[in-house]
Amino acid sequence: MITAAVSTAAGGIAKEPASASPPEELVRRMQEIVGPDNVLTALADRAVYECDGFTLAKTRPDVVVFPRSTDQIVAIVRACRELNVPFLPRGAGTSLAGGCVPVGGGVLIALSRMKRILEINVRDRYAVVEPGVVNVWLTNALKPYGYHYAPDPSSQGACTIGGNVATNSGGPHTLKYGVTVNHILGVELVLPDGRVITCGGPVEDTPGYDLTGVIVGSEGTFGIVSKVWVRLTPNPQAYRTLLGVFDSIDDATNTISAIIGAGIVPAALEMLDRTMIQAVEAAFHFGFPLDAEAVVIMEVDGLEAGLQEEADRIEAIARAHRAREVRKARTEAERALLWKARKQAFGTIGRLGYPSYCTQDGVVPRTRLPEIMRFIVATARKYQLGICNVFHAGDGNIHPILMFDERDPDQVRRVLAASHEILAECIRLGGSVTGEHGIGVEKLDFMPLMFSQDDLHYMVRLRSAFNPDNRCSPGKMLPTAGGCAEGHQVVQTHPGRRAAV
Amino acid sequence: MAEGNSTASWNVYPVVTPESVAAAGDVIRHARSCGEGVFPHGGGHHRHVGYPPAKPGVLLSTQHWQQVADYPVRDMTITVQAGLPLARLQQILASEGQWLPVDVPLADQTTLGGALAVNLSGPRRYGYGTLRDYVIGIRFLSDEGVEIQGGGRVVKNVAGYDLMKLHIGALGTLGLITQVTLKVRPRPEASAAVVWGCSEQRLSEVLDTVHSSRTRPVAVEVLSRAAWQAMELAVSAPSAPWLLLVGFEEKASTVRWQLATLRDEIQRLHQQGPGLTDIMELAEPAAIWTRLTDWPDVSPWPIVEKVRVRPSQMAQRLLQYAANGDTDRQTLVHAHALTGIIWWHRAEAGTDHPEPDSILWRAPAEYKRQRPVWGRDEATSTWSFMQELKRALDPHNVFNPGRLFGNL
Ligand SMILES: Cc1cc2nc3c(=O)[nH]c(=O)nc-3n(C[C@H](O)[C@H](O)[C@H](O)COP(=O)(O)OP(=O)(O)OC[C@H]3O[C@@H](n4cnc5c(N)ncnc54)[C@H](O)[C@@H]3O)c2cc1C
Repeated sequence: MITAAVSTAAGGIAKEPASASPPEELVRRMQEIVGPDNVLTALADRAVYECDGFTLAKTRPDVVVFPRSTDQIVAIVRACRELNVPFLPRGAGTSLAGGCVPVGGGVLIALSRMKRILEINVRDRYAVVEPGVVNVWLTNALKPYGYHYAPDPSSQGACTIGGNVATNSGGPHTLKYGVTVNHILGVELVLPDGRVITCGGPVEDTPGYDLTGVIVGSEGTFGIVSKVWVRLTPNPQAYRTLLGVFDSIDDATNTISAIIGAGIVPAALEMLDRTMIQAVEAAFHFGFPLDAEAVVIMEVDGLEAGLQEEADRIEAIARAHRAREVRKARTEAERALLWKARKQAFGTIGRLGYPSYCTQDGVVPRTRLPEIMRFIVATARKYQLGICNVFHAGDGNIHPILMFDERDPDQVRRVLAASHEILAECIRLGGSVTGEHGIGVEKLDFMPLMFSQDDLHYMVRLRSAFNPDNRCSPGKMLPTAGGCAEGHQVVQTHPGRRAAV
Repeated sequence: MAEGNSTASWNVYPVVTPESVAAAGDVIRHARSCGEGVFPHGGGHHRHVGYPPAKPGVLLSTQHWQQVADYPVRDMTITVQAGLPLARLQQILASEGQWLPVDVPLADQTTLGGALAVNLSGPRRYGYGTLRDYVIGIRFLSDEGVEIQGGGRVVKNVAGYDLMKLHIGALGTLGLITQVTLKVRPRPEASAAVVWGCSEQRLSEVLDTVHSSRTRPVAVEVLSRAAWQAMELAVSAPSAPWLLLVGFEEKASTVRWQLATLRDEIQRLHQQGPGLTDIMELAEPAAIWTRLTDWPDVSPWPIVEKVRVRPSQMAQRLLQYAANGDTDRQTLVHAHALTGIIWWHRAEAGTDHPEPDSILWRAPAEYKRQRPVWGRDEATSTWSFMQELKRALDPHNVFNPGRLFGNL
C-alpha cells in the first residue's frame, strides 16, 4: 500500500516518478465540480504541493483542487470514490511531520480558499470558521471584542484552523490554556463516502460520543473538516513577562519545574538555548545576552490584582536557581517584540550557516527536562551535528533542531540516527515522540514503540469506522496497510520512511 | 436514591467483581461468546442515565481496582485505576496541595471510570472545563477482552488517536475503562462565593452583566427560590424569585479584588432600578458546590431533565420552566448559567411539551419509553453515525447494550 516517497541514497530526498499528465477523466470531473480556476494540473504547479514543512518525503499529487464549499468537498470525495483514487486534505502545508504528503498520489484537496469567518458570537463565546481560516486572522478579528482564540502555534501567521484541528496543535500559551482540542466545540466533517456529519456545536454536552474530541488530532485520516466551532477566550487583563538568563541549561530547566512545583500556573514558559539566542539576536536585535547558555521566557497573565506578587515569586525562584539576571518587559511593545522573536525563531536558523535543518518534536515529563537536554547535547556531539533548541519547556515539549547539509548523505544519516535516539530517549523517560506536530508520515515507525500491536489494531478499527477503504489520507498516522481492520498483523512501513526529522 | 427509577430492571443482573484486569477480560470474552452483555459497575449511582439494559448479562464491578499506579507529584499527573472513587482521589491529591478541578456528584462512591463514562460535571465547569480537559491517558478492555492503551502520561501528546475522548460520555458502551491518567492542578489559594436575589424582569440583564464582568468567576449558578429552599442550604435565601450564585477561586488577593469588583458591578445595576437584593458572601462555598453538584442525582423529584441551551437563551428558558409551577413546588430549576446547562426537576410528567434540546436525566421507566431520552440529537445523521461507530468497535454489542441507543 505504501509505495510512495522512498528515500534515495542521494540526500534522502524522495521523489516518486510523477505522472507527467494527470488522468484526464479525473481532471475533467474536478473541473466540473469547482471550475477550471480551482484546479491545478500543470506539473510545476503540482510540484509546490509535493511536500510540506517536512521536506524529506515528497510525492506529487495527480491534481490539486480548491473547493469553496462543503458541497464541493462532498462532490470531490464522491468522484474520488467512483474513480478509485485517494485524496488528502491540506491547509497551509506547515506540517512538520509530512502530514500533507499525498502518499500514492491522487487528489489534494486544498482548503485555503474556504477562508471565511462565518460567525462571531461573543455572548455565547464561540465563533464558526471555515477550515482555511488562518489562525491569526481569527484572533485579529476578535480583537475589537476583547477576546481571542487561545491556541497560538508559532506558525499561527500561516497555519489554518483546519490544520490545527487535524493536528491538535499547541503553542506557547497552551501551557495554561490547553491545546486545540480544549477549544474546539464542534466540527462539520465530510466523511470519505461523502456523508456530512455535524459533531458538537455551540451548545455544550452533546449526547453520545465525543466525536469532536476524537476527530481533533486524527490528522485528516477520518475525513475532511469543513467547518469548525471554536471557543472564544476573554483576553487577560494584564501580563507580566520576564526573561530569565542562565549560565547553564540545568539551572534553566530546574527553574521551570520549580515554578510549576510551586503551584503557579504560568501562561507560558519557553526556552531558547545559546545557539538559538545567537540566531534570534542577529535577526531581531532584542538585546539577548549572547554569552548566556539559556534564556527562559516566563509569562503570567490574568487579572491585575495579585499578578505582580506572582511575577515576583517567579523571579525569586529563577534567582534561587542561579539566574544571572531576570529582565522584565516594561511595555507592551517590548513584550510584543519578545514574542515575535520567540515565534519567528525558526525563521532565523538560516543565519547559523547550515543549508538544512529539521525540527524535532518530543515530550518528557517536565521534571525530566534536565536529563533530556543533557542527552540532546551529548547526542549532537556524538553525531557531530549542529543543534539548537527553542521549545515549550513548561509542557516538557522539546524541539531540538538538527542542522546539517542535505546534500551530504552521511550527514542525513547522522541526523536520522540522532533524531531516533532522542525520541527513543523521550519514550524511555515516560514521554512521547510527538507533542504537537503529529505522526504524519515522519514518525510512523515510532508508533510500534509507543503502542502495542493490540493498541494499533484497535486504532485501525477506529479509523475504519470513519474511513473504511482508507482512501482518505492513506499511509499516514498508523503504520498499517489499509483495509486490514480485522487482521492483527501490523505491517511495518518501508525503512526508508524512517525520516524522523 | 438516585438509581431508584429503574432499580427493578437491574436487580436481575448478577454482579461479578474480578480481582484482575485479565479476569475481567475473560468475563468479557465469555459474555461475547454467549451473546450476553457486560454492564460496567462503578458506584452505581448513575445507572438511571440513558436507556435501560437491553440484554441479559452481568454487572462487572470495578471495586477491586483502586490502586494508584503512579503519582509523580511535581509533574502534576496521576495514574490510577478506574474503580477509585473520586473523593478518595481528591484526598490523595489534596495531600500534595493538588486537585482535579471537576465537580463530580456523589464523589464518595462515584468512581473515576463511572464519572468518565457519564461525563459528570458541576458548577465549576465554567472556570475549569470538564473531564475531557484533564484525561491524558486511558486503558480499557475492548470487546475482545484485550487491554488497549491510548494517550500517555505526559501533558502534551498527539501520538495516535485520542482514545480518551472516545470513552468520555460514551456511557460505557465502547469498553471497560481500567486505568486513567489525569493532569491535575495546584489547589487554589483562596475561594469565595456570593449570592444575591433577582426579579424575573431583571434576570436576563443580570446574566449579561456577569457575562461581561471584569471578574473571572469559576462558577455562575442560577437557582429558582424553590430550588434553593429544597436544597436546604445553610444560608437563608434573599427574598427574590431568582438567586444568583457566583464563585471565585484564585490567589487570595485576586479573589478579594473580584469580590469587590462584582459587588460594584451589581451595585450599579441595583441603582438603576428595583429587583435586586444586596450581595451576601457565603461562608462555605465548597459545601454549596457539592450540594449543587449532587442535586440532580439526589433530589426527591422523580423527573429530572438536563436542558442544553445557548447561554444567551438562559434567562428566557429559566423563566419559562419556572412559570410552570415553581411556586407550588411542582417543579424547580437551577442552572450552570453561563455554560448553558439547566437542570429541571419535576414532580410529574404533566402536560408540558419537553423541549427538543432536553436530555431525560432521570425518570420513571414508563416516562422514558414515551420520548427519546437524548432529545432531538437522536434524530440526526450524526447519531446514526455513532451507532455505526458502536457496531465497528463492539460488533457483538457486549458493552452496556441498549444503554445509549435504546433497544434497537
Ligand atoms: C515555523 C513553524 C512553527 C510551528 N510551530 C508550531 C507550534 O508552535 N505548535 C504546533 O502545534 N505546531 C507548530 N508547527 C506545525 C504546524 O504549523 C501545525 O501542525 C499546523 O497545525 C498545521 O496547519 P496547516 O494549516 O499548515 O496544516 P497542513 O500542514 O496543511 O496539514 C496538517 C495536517 O492536517 C490535515 N488537514 C489540514 N486541513 C484539514 C482539514 N480541513 N480537514 C482534515 N484534515 C486536514 C492534513 O492532511 C495534514 O495531515 C509549526 C510549523 C512551522 C513551519
